[in-house]
Amino acid sequence: MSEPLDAGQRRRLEEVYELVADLGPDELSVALDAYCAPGDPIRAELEALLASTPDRGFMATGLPWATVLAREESIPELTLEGFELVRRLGAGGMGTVFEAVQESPRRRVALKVVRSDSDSVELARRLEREGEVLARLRHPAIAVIHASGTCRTPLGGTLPFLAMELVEEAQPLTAYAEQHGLELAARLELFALCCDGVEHAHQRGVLHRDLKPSNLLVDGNGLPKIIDFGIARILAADESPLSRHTRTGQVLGTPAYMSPEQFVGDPDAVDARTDVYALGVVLFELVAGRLPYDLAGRSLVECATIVRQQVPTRLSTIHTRFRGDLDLLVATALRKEPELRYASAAALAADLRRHLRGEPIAAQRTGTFRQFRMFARRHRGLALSVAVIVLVSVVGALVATDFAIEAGARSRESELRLREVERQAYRLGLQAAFGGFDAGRSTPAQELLAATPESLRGWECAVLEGLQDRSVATARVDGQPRAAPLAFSHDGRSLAVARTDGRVERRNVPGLEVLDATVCAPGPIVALSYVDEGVVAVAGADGVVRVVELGSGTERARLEEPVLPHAMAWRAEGRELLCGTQRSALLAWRALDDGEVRTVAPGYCASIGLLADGSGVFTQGGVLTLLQADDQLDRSFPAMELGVGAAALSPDGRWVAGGGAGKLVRIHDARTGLPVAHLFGHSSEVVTLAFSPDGHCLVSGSHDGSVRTWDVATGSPLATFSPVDRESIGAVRFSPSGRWIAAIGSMGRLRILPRAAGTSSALLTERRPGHNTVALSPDGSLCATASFFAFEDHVRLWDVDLGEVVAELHGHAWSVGELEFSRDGRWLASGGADRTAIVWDVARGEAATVFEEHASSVESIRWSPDGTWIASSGLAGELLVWEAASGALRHRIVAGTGQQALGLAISPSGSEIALGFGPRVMLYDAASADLLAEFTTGPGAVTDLEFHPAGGLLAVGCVGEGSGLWDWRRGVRVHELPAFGGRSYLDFDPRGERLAMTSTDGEVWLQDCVEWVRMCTLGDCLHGVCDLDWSADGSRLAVVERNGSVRIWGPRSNAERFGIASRTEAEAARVRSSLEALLARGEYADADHEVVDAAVRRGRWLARMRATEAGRRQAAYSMRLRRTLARERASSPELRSAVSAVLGLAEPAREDLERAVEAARRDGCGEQLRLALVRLGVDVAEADGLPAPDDPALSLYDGCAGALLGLARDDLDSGRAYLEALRLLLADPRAEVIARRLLPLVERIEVRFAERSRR
Amino acid sequence: MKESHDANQELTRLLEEAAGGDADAAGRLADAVHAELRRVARSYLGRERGGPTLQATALVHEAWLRLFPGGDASFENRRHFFGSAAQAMRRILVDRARRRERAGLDRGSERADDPGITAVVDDVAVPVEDLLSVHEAFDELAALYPRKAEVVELRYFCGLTEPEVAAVLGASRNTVTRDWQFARSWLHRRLSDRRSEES
Repeated sequence: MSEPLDAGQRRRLEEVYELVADLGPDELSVALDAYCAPGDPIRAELEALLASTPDRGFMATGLPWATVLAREESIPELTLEGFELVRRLGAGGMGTVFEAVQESPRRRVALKVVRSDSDSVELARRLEREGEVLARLRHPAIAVIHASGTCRTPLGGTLPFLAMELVEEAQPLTAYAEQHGLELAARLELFALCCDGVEHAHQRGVLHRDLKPSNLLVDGNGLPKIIDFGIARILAADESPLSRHTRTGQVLGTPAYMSPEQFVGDPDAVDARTDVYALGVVLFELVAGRLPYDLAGRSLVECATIVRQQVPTRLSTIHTRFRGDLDLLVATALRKEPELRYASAAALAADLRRHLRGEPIAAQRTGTFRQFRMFARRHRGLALSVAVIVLVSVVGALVATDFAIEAGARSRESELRLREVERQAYRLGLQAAFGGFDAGRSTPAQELLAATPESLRGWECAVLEGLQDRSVATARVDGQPRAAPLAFSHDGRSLAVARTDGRVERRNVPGLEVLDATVCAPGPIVALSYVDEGVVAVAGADGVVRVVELGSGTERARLEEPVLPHAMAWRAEGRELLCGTQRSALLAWRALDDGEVRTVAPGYCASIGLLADGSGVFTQGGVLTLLQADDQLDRSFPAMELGVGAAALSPDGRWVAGGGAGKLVRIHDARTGLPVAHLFGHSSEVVTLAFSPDGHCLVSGSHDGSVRTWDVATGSPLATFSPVDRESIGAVRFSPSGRWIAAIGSMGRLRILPRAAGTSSALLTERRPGHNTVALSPDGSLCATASFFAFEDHVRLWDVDLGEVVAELHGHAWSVGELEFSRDGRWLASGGADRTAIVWDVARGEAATVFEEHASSVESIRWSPDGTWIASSGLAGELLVWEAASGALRHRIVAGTGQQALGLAISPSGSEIALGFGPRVMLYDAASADLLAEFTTGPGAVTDLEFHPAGGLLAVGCVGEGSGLWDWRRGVRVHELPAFGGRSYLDFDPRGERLAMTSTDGEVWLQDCVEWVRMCTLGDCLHGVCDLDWSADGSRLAVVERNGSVRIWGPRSNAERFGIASRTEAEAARVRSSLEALLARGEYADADHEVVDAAVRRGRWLARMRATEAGRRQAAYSMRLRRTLARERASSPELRSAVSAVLGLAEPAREDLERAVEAARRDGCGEQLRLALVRLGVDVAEADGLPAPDDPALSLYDGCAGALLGLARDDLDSGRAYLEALRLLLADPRAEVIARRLLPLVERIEVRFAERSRR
Repeated sequence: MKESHDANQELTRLLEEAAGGDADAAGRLADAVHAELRRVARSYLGRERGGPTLQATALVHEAWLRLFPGGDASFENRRHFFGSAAQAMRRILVDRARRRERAGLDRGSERADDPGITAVVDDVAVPVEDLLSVHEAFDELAALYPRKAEVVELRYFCGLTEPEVAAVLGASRNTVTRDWQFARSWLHRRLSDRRSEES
């Protein structure tokens, strides 16, 4: 060691170490020059420390503590009848092994006392049962099991044990081979003997399941002895390997030797070939001295991913002498697909011995092209890495070259094959680009796509282009090796950013050109905050905080506390500076007054978010804490997980966002502290968060290098700005206008990002209630949504480009479940649970035709291609055909009874109508209403139908098996689609080249209709999907997520979106501009300015109506009930009187309501009535003046209704989602009164769910 | 029930006194923690659950739960408890290593005293070799860089993960990572210096 450092030097050493520890060698020398004066004694020490790189094992944690603590006492504590314990041999994942002497017959045994997490009685029973089988294994290479049973411990517990043959001088196979320096041939021979033993057990129906070198022993005579046969199964008969591992936190089976199918945890998938795989790994290790996969230090989940997806290292790449048969032999044993491995240990041993004798082996080489295809299949749906892309292009090029050579002979065929390869490359490129988009790895994939023939590049490619991350401006902050602090000026026109040399640069926004640079500190700056226009506070690495005027550099105040603030914020109108420090505390400094400093809170503070009134949120020792304006700490805020390093408070003070080491960002309700949204997406620690000034948007920056924006209302991800050069993000800020995001990376890359960019072209969201059904106008500019589950009786029209509601269409008396635009976009048809269909004039926002002939809830509605008539179907199975203009009924068709009719489609020619009825599809002649054809798709109900634009084929989505493309005339399925357990939705693009489809779990993908393969996955909607619609011109695809947000994919570029109006402008102006846009497109030739003005007036009227929505609803409820009551023709007198009683009361009490609900339940016919009553409860509650519309109480009622509806519609999944939400809501203190009222109802619903699930 | 409640109160009092700087209380607390750790460890071995590879962090948490069933989670108390536990763990390890050394046992790994059984000892080895020297170097570190030493104590001797250490110390995760990196580098350097001095 060099000269000892004094205390001051040590402190500086620690600080500088923190600043430079992560730097690369080039940056390091620059930084050390910056931080250390020449001859500085700490420099040598620093360099020595940084050069000292202990290997991973050094001071590795996780010592076997219990053993250490208890080992000395453990032997005397154990007594086993019939055995004399001699000594402990060791302890392992399964238990402790002793050398013991069995009394009768007298022999030395290895006694394994088994530890297990499962019930010991059950375990003992299994041991007994299986022990007999094991005891029958007699093979020289298998250690014999002598006895098994249970023994007592002094503490009164029982421990299962196994007594087995004591293997003298045992060593693991690999260790033995190393120690004895065995030649390759000797190793292989020894290994073949092991295979013989494994084969013997397999012949007797016993799998080992945990083969690894430490179970493949070699005794003192150099002969193999396999131990622990079948033990893995006894210990884990009913557990998947993953659950077993995660539960104990210990690895019982060793992941390195586990086969891909073992990771899946499906016990049926495990057979003899699983042991063959493990033997393959051991063989690889025995020959090569290392493992085929690098799994060191990986979590089990990562191991599973690697083993199931990565190509194992080829033996031949380790040493050329392994080339040829041995390489192939090992690779065959290591195949991921069991069917491609050796079928038995004997086959493996036989090939080994052939190889040893120099004979040709039996294993077959797989063709490159076949491998490529298998590879592509395995990776479908996954985000592909760059390596895959490279592989794909290389393989593609190779194949292409091959064919080019052969061109003379077979040009036609090779041409076809080349096209096939190109299309395959295109699809893989798409998959990779979409999959990699979120992770910021889509660039190489897009390059690959750009290389594919232009004729292949379609809509989805245009969507990708629209998704490109476009920084508006980028700049490099010089001399700044670490993430620099930055701050927008109050007017938002400039951005201040600190540099290591102590200067603060001002750059214009959004251009990022340098305006000026002011020296504010002698050395690096670690934190920066604006006080006033042109005045900043900077915290230097020297521990001094200075308040400096930019431009002149005049120092206005300084604080010389030994602190290193990492977060600063001004409050009390710029009179007091809060400094969050690295070490000690959150300090408040009255910088520009008397300079007084006081401690607000102890603990390390990394992040502060403040409101104008001085209250705010900060992180205290890794926990979110609320700070009140009077400096009191709000301890009631529940501590979420630890390690939160980033915090932000929404400008309205309602939401607190926190993020940190846990990678996820949580949004909490600031009043209750309850988390309202969990934002998943970042792959590394979240370091910085900021709310947009309007509070709608949250931006997060992470060590993973990406910047993400999120919709605060729904928690939906809005946009991902990809990492550049693996640079992690240091800070993000919103501009005061909310239009721009400034982000700075760890290497000093400064970017201005547009908030309006997104992963889809647009996202339409409202806090609640969510939408459940969607229709896009033919040009994709308008989007109609309605919320079935939330019982909204109106349709909302959105301007997609504005992202705003431009009109609400009122007229239905009950939930609207289905929407479709006419082909010319002038009309919108809606169908509702009120058994009414309405045709709306879109421009006027008024009902043109009201059609009330349905006998059940209108489930589907479709326009004829010429727009003159409409087909609509009711849930009960009636199909009505009627005139769009007059509502005159043309046909009433009843498909049958006892099933639900869910899907409806009209053929492109308009001559056929397809109706899904239960598991059947019925085809009717549109003119005559005759039944043309009928076929059954599968056991589950048909949920969606769509004719292929060319006619003849019908895409069918159904529950379970049967989805696909059907030739409806012959009732034959031409192409299959995957089966899902719930509803799936589908729609063709207008040219019929691609089919958009959703799965129950929320995946949205495109199916290539030419080759009938999956083209690419557009996105995963975490919450599941309720509906989707493709605009008639094919430009946009709208998908409704179950959380209510509508995602719209389309090729519109972000640049076009930047120019649009923001949410802050007046509603009337938005309506006007959107309608003017409509006019400009010439779709409404007869419209004039009066129409526009009327629309503006309507916008104002709507705004007013929304303000008094509660009142309006209350006035409407009795009318609704009466209508519903009138329709429930089968209702019993009891029900009628109960409902009348409710209606007769000015303020119905809970008991009345419940009685009515109960009567409705007994009556058995009153689904809608029950819902009406629940809804009535909401109205009553509102009449009580209890909740505001977005209160949890309202959610409670909606939750009940949703759960009931789920039951009624047999959609248990969605019902359960509501029920889960209900359970959460019931705990909400704000809904206490209502919760108490509703609890019995919820309990009853739960019982119903349980009953239904059992059935 | 009452008895355990009293015991709990007694422990909480000890914890508070120790946190307040009472050396005697700190010693008695460490003894109590030590005893409890052993109890937990033994019961884990003696029964079916848990087992010899139980992690230190689980042991310590279990001891914490047993000693303070009420879940007294005051920041200072928690920090002090884990500090005591870490010291207890260190003491146990070091005592044990010293005993073994005195008994003339090989300063090798656990495996070495029972040659030939490595096969059935699944990856369980206590690096006794390093332990005493780490301990000595650790004392030096504690004198020079007390905060780093605290991290080492919790991370290495107490087996806590980085986020847990961060929570216990009320420091950021980054700080803990960096401190741990610093301490490892420092200790590694110190140990290799000593080794070269010896040879």
